[in-house]
Amino acid sequence: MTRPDPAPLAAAADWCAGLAAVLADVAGQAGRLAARIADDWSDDHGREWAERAALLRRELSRDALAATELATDLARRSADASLTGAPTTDPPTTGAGALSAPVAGSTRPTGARLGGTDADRVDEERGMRIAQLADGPG
Amino acid sequence: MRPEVHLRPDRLLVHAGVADGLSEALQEVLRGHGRFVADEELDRLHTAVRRAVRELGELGAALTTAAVSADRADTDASLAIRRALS
Repeated sequence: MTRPDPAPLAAAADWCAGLAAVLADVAGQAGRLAARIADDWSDDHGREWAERAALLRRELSRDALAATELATDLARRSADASLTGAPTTDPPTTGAGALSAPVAGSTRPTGARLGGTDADRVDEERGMRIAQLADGPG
Repeated sequence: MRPEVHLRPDRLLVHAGVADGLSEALQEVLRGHGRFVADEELDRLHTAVRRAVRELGELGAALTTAAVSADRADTDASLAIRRALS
């Protein structure tokens, strides 16, 4: 498993934030353009194009919101990747139980590990570990 | 063209310029886009913007065509009136 590099995620987040601003601006201008076309082009073609411009405004507004949400998500993922350190690749698995063995200086991410479709074994331990007191003498 | 239809060629040309400008603004954003990360939603947005660029380009072209046609119709009508009056 490859840990994500925060830099491309941050660049993508910046691009999405800029895109959201441009889309919102263009959407507003497309809406005003649709109204002007309806006023100044009063035949069937004009009405059709005014409707298409109004539809474009709605689509661009939705895309602006989607771009804002994606920018937030990408920025969060970038921040998460930064917190976990430089991008690394996990050691390859070589057989059953290889992943469950502790690795000295392990760089594996923490948290739950889910099974994949590659038929590799994952950690045998399940659930949380509860602290226990050592057995007393006698 | 129905008699009650009035087109404003000068204004249609202005609107065409606006549509072309909006298309260019979106194209500019696309030019700044690199293949940063593999993301389905990012790809979808990219496709949506490309589609909007095309739609605005077609709108600009349609407005220009309508303006030229309306201008030609105006010229033809005024020539016809002058001929009728002379």
